[in-house]
Amino acid sequence: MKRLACILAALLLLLLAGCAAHPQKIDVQTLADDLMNNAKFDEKPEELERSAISKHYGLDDSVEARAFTASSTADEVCVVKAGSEKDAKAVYKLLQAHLDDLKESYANYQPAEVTRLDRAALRREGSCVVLLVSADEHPEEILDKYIG
Amino acid sequence: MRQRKRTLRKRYFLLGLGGLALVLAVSVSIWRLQSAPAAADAPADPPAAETQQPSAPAASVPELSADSGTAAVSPAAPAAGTTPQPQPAEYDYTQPVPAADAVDESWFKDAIFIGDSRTEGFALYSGLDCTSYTRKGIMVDTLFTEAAVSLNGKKVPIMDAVAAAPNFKKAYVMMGMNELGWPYLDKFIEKYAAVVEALRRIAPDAQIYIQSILPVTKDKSAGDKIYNNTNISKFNTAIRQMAQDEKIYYLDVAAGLAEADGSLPADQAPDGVHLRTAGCKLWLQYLETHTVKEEP
Repeated sequence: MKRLACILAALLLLLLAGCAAHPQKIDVQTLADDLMNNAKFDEKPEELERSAISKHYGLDDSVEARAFTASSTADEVCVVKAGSEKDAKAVYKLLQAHLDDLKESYANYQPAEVTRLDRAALRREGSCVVLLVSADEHPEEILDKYIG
Repeated sequence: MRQRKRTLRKRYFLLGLGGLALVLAVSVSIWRLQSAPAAADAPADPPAAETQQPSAPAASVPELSADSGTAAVSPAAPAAGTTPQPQPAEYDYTQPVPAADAVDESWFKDAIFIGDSRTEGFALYSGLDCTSYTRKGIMVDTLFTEAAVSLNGKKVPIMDAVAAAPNFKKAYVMMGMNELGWPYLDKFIEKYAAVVEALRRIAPDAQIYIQSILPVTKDKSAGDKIYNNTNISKFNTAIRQMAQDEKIYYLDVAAGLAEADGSLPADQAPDGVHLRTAGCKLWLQYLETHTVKEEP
């Protein structure tokens, strides 16, 4: 009986682990939609055109990316799939710099937004990089549902 | 039999003579046609292109300008019979830039945009692929002092970054929202004029377009002692006067985007101030239909 319980528990763990998308299987379009639909925002961010994404984050035009930003809050979603893990590390640095810049510019403008930015989730999984700035208490937990 | 042969020879002779006469007549006609003047008595069906003489081009065909592909009469060889192009009157700086035919997005390829968070929104949401220098909360004085944009890996003031890339031909500037709380309006105008002066120094041939401050929504205006439409209107009157004094183009974007009561439509700005995509696209539409084409 104990043996059966152990096997069942192991199977359950394996099943749960499979729920989070594998980095290679992350689909930029779907993940961006999932985050937009499941995170909380004070102002629903609007999708940016590809050329605006490149300029906003300093990304290369060839990289697959989707991004949404709000006009009056720091709410933001950005999902990037780079060509390799090495490239993704560079993208991560760009997004980190972007986040730092936002904190700096909001500090004297709308200081309340800095708190939101401090809670922001930025994560790299394989060749994917995801940024989520939302009204959720723990945006990291939202990312946990979909990646990692 | 001999009589018949003689008759036949006579017939052949006459036929030959007739043919010769025909050939001569045709040759004379061709010669006359070729030597006739091209314009007035040209034949209804013009000869094929390869037979046209290069020295006699059709009189009323305008030349095509190589770069734009638009028709323009060559000033070196004015067409006979065409009316001369009217000379443009001196630009009236007392008025906002009037509506004109819409330009396409290539107009903005050599343009820069300078401004605060609202211009930042414009660069993000309008869909225009443009060069912008923006910073949340930036003001006419901090444009020169606040390290706001990255240049070669270093944060520098916006005007330093603009000076480092002086090849722009148009500068669109919208400032004033963050300065609405300044106690002295003339101080604001003085600092704004310094921005204009700096742009002129950096790019002497560039067109400078100063945009009016966009209004806020009705609710925002009613509940704010500083950021309200009465104050914005007061600032815009002063900005317009500055544009007139400096002889630069004033764009009344505010009038183009406001509702009948002069306020920003509530559905375009969730916080009453910052435009979302629909509003930014309207803003772009206004810019595209309010341009000044200067003579070269």
